[in-house]
Amino acid sequence: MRIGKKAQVTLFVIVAIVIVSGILIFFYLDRGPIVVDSISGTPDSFIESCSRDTVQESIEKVYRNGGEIETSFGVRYQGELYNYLCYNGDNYLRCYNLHPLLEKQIEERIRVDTLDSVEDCFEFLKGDFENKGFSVEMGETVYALDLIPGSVDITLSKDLLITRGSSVQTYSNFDSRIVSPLYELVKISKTIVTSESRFCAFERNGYMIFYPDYDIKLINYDNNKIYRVIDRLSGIEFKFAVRSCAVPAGI
Amino acid sequence: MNINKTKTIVGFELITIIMSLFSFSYIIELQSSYFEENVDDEENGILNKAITFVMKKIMDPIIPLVSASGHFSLEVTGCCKTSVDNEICSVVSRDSCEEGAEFQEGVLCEESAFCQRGCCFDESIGSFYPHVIETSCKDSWVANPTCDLPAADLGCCFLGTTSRFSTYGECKIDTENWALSNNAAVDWDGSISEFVCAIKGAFPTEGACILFDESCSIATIGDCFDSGGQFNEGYLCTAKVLNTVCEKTEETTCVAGKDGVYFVDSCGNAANIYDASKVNDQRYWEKIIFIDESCGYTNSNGNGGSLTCGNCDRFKGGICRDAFKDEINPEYGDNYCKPTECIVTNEFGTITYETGESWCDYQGKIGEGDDVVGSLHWINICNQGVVDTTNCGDYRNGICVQKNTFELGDTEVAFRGAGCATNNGDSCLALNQDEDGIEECEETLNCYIRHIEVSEFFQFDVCVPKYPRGFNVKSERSQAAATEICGFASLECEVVRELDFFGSCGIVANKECLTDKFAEEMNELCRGMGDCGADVNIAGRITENYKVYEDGERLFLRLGSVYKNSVRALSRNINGQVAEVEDYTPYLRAVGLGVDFDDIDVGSSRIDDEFLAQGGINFAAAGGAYGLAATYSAGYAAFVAGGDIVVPLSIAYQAELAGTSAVSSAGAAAFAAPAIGAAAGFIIGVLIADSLGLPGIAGIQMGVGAALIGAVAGYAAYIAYIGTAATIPVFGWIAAALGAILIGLSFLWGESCKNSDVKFTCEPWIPPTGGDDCELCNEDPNKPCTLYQCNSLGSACDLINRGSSEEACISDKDDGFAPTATPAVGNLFDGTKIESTNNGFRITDTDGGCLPANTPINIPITTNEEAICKYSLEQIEFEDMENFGSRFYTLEHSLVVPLPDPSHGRSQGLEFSEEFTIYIKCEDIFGHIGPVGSRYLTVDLCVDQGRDFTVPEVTGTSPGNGFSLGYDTNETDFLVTTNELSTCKWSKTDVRYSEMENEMECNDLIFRPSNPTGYLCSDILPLNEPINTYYIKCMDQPWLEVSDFESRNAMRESFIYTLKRPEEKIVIDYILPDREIITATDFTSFEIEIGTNAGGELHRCSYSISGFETMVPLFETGTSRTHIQTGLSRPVGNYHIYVECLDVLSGDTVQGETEFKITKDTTSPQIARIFQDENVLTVVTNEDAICKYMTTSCRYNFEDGIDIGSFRTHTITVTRGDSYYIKCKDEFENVPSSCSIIVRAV
Repeated sequence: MRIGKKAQVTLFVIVAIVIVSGILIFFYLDRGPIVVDSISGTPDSFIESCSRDTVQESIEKVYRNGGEIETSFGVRYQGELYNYLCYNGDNYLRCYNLHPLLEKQIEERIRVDTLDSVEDCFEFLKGDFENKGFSVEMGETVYALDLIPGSVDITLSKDLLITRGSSVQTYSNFDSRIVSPLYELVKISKTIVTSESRFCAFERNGYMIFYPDYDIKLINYDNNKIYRVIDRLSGIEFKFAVRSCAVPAGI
Repeated sequence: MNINKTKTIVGFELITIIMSLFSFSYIIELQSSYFEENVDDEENGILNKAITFVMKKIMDPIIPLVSASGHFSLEVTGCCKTSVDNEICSVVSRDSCEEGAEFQEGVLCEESAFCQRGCCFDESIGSFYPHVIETSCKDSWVANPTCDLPAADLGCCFLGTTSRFSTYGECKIDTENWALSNNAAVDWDGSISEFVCAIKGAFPTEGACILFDESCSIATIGDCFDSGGQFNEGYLCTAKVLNTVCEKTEETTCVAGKDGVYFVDSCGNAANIYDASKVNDQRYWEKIIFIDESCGYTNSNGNGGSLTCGNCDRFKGGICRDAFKDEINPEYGDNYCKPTECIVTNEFGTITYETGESWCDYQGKIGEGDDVVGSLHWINICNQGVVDTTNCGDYRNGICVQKNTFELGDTEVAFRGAGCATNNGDSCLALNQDEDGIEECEETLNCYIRHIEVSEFFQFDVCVPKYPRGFNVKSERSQAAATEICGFASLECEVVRELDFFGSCGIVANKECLTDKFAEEMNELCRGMGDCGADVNIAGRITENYKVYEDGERLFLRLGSVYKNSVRALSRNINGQVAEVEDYTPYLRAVGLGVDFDDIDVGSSRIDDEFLAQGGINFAAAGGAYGLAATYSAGYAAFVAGGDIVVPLSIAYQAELAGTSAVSSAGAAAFAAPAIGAAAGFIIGVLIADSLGLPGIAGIQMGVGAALIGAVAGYAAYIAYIGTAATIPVFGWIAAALGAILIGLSFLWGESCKNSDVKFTCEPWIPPTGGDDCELCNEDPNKPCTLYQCNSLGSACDLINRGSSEEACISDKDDGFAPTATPAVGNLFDGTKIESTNNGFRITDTDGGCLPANTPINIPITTNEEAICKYSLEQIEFEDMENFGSRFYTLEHSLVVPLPDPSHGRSQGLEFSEEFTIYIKCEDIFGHIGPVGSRYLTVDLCVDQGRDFTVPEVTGTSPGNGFSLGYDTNETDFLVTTNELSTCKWSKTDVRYSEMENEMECNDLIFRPSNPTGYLCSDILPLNEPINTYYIKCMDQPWLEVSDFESRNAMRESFIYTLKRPEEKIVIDYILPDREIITATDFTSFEIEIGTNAGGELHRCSYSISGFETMVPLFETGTSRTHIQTGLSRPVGNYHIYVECLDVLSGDTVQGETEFKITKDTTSPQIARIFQDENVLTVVTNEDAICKYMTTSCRYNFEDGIDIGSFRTHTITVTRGDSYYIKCKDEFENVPSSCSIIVRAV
């Protein structure tokens, strides 16, 4: 088949258009939403997910350690160390509330415990993007946690500027929420501790009748009371210990 | 055995036995001479000394004062802010207090400024925490330990379809979070009880709320309005008429706060109760149908386990739960009514309990002093189908009480309720000291009167605990206390003999005291004291821990097999037995708990007909539920009313709450019972406060306890060591009753035949040797083994891996060898030394010579493993030997004894030798006795004999030297004791013995001192002056003839003794409060303050809110003339407080009363005047107030308003024509719900 000169020129033009179009498309796509192989989703969703995972781990510690990240002063029972929320080492005397404003303390404990990890989330993101030829600028981190009914709110903001060439993406808000009964369990624990500090006891049977969604287990162990406050629906439990009005053997 | 040897032994044993008893337990004497002197001594406070001793023991655990080893090495203890073990505010030794941490010597933390309790709060979030020390609080702190602050009041917070019981501040935060808006109106009501709040939250008025985007949700009218939706009351989102996108489904859900299983629509809204027959019935998806019109409403088991109906009722037997987890397949959806009942099978059969029911479990028989060693009281709760078991406290420190029915209106409903109450058993023993103690016993909680009857002349009543507490057999401190408590049952019976017709001595009274019956009867009393005497453990094994002596010689009275079998049988459970709930109301009223259970307005907690009509939980049918919930409210009210009770009473609240539990199942009619344990705890509190002077805790010198705890060295050593005259301890409760009888008998029959004293000594229970039963403790996973239980099963049993998941009771390993003993040279008293001999050692003075007579020496030995040692002056079987010091498995052992003077003994017809040997054997925890076979560890002793050149010493007086007697006292009985048998005289001038004009009566015999502190003389002293001084001198060896008078030694220096009598009788100057208290809360805290004057140096005051019959010591009393009870909390109302103050030393009392009123200020500030000048509007209120305004409407939160100042005058710069909606709030947080005033500017 013979092709005319005119046709050849046309063919070259078409090929050129295809090539140029391909190049243009390539560059066009490159300027679109930033998607990286190692980070799934967008940067904000990555940070939100990463910070949530970090906070979730910390929340688990808080559940185990009665409001602390690590138990510093507690009683060991069945191999587990139960954090004292209320304690008096002397006999017959009511306990002192060792962790007032527990909800605020927990918010701060989790924040401090996860701050570095949250920063690591950003650093990871930055490193990952920089490896792919992006330039990443980050501002100051504003990070706080809030225990609210049914969940833990993460307030996280940081100016994040991702650029390559003339393309620029900015992010600043990475707030997220973890569904968790922590707020409720802490409130119940507060009620228990308040009662123990005032009256040397807590009437859990009556309380469970009022609030059937929660199970409160009590173990009397060596003049200590070990409490496990359980959210029946999720099975999540908050554990702590109290030593109040201990009565010694004999008199 | 020759006669001389026997006599030596008798003489020595008399001394050692008596002194051991003085060292380790007090005895209750039954000697007539004693009674004569002491019958009326109570008013002088003598009898109180005995109980004071025990009460000091009670205090001991509060202030772990010292470690006593050898002599009294005092360790400085006090309140430490932070200990090296991270303990906050605990009493520890100075060494255990963290370096740099605050430490206050000799003070309990409750009295220490740096450990003052207060309220830590953040008002912005409405969070308040009581009982916090200031340095623990990072936010606001006020010295109000119970947070009696207006903003801390709890109320019902409505959040959409749910409710929470919270503070206003918490409600505000929750509302903002729930509504996602800072301006959402807060729906909080402080007048609603927790019970009603919970119910209202569960059954709000709901309907379909359609938003502008046509989405639909189930909401309350208020919420729907707030979100700008269209409210359709009573309609479901699936109603055809509403034409929403929501459709019916076959799915179900559980709803927080509700029992039932609900259908769920395609929008995720809970619809009506799951009813499989109506899944496709559109009519069932139109309107909200109440549960009383839903399937299975009348089902008696709350549809528990039903696959087709989700109308669960947890009180009848069902509650919504995930079916998948329980491997249940309901016809539709993934949820079902999980059965909530508990089916329990035990040795007596199968019993079904409803959820919320609670009941007691015991280990063996309980009550009447029969609780067996190692047994605990257990409480079970049926918790939504699961039995939850907890012990009420190790060592039976808690008892489980139970009630099986409660009254609901006119109907008695079967519903079991139990609670753990503090065991107040020790207080029963204390009642025996009181004149009316036996009568009080019947009225006192958990006490009962045991009648002991051995013979016609040896019978008496004793107040003892129904449920005696246990002791720790491996704790020296606990064993010291156990020795004291068991010692209460160590009694003597005097067997009276008289010449018969044939000229021989025959027994005319109390011959039964020489029979086994005496041992058995006395053992019953002994067992009733606690873990004492011959008793059985939970494994059914008996050990016998008692001895009987006749005139100091061991009498081997045995317990019969029938009796022992009856004791053994106590370890078996009894079907249906329970410790009964008692009436604690008087006790609660006495301390002003505000729990007038008769008057509690149950109606305030009663759900109204509207809720019932709505088909809420079927409370009427499930009567138990109502009882439970209502009573919980009552109990809650009770402890709110109780407020911040003083430390000693705190345990009362433990009990109170336990009581709440017990009553909760007992129902509304049993409101007297919620305080089940309150009174128990209260009694303990009173005892502690009364006897220890808790008010003066801060002033208690730590060293005081040293002598009390110095059980190792013993009381005799204590006397010798401190070298000063002590106050004579005297016991007289049973003695007083029997004394007159015996005195009378003695008079009738004369004394030509010698009577004998048969003494039963009650000792602490020790476990059987070995560890064969240890594993029994690990068998029931629902009742985990405790230290007490484990140790009771065998002396070799030990709870290992404590705190780990491998914790278990196992037997120690037996090395197969008997223990070996060696002298502990370091613990010798000064002036003695030890020399080794072939089979042991010899104790001499430091020059190697004989030891002086009548001076206590210590014989100390150490064993290579924990053992109990015994001694004898003959080579006899281990079982028949006497205890060498304490009956406690330990490494250190010591026997403190003053050696008898042989020459004195001879002159009294007793043959002593100056040389003798003590034979010792020791037994380890496995029963290996060493030295084995016929060998003994021997201790050779030599005592000086010959002429006595030592003058006697006064070792004690009663009343104590320097004591103050009553204002009206003109004369008093007086006792003096000496270290050796003497005659004593007294004079008002300091003259020689022979010139003293008043001879005292001294009837003791040699080696038979009738008092722990020595040989007793008595007389009556006149009191004429405010300060009366007497000079006392004694002369030893009264048995010597007058011609030997020069051989006797008279004191050259008088013992100077003073008694005081107040110039004026104690008076009460004032009692506060005496006027109206205005408060902002339903309950307010206040304090009672009493000022006293005149009288003696030490005053103590008590108070009561119910009457003079039930007085409670004030917390701060005894240290000054001002007496304070802080932390009382009472609801508004009129109050009458009864006060009684005691001049402790004189015994004088004075009573007073005060009346006052607590008024709640519920009125918001009123606008007194308002005027406008130019564009300035001035608002004047009738009291100081904070005023705010907005220009939109009255429907705003006060906090959001624009501030126009505090005080009484408030100004606004106004714009003509604008309206100003003004609200004013006073210091009690009273603010109108609408506006204080609405003003339009002109």
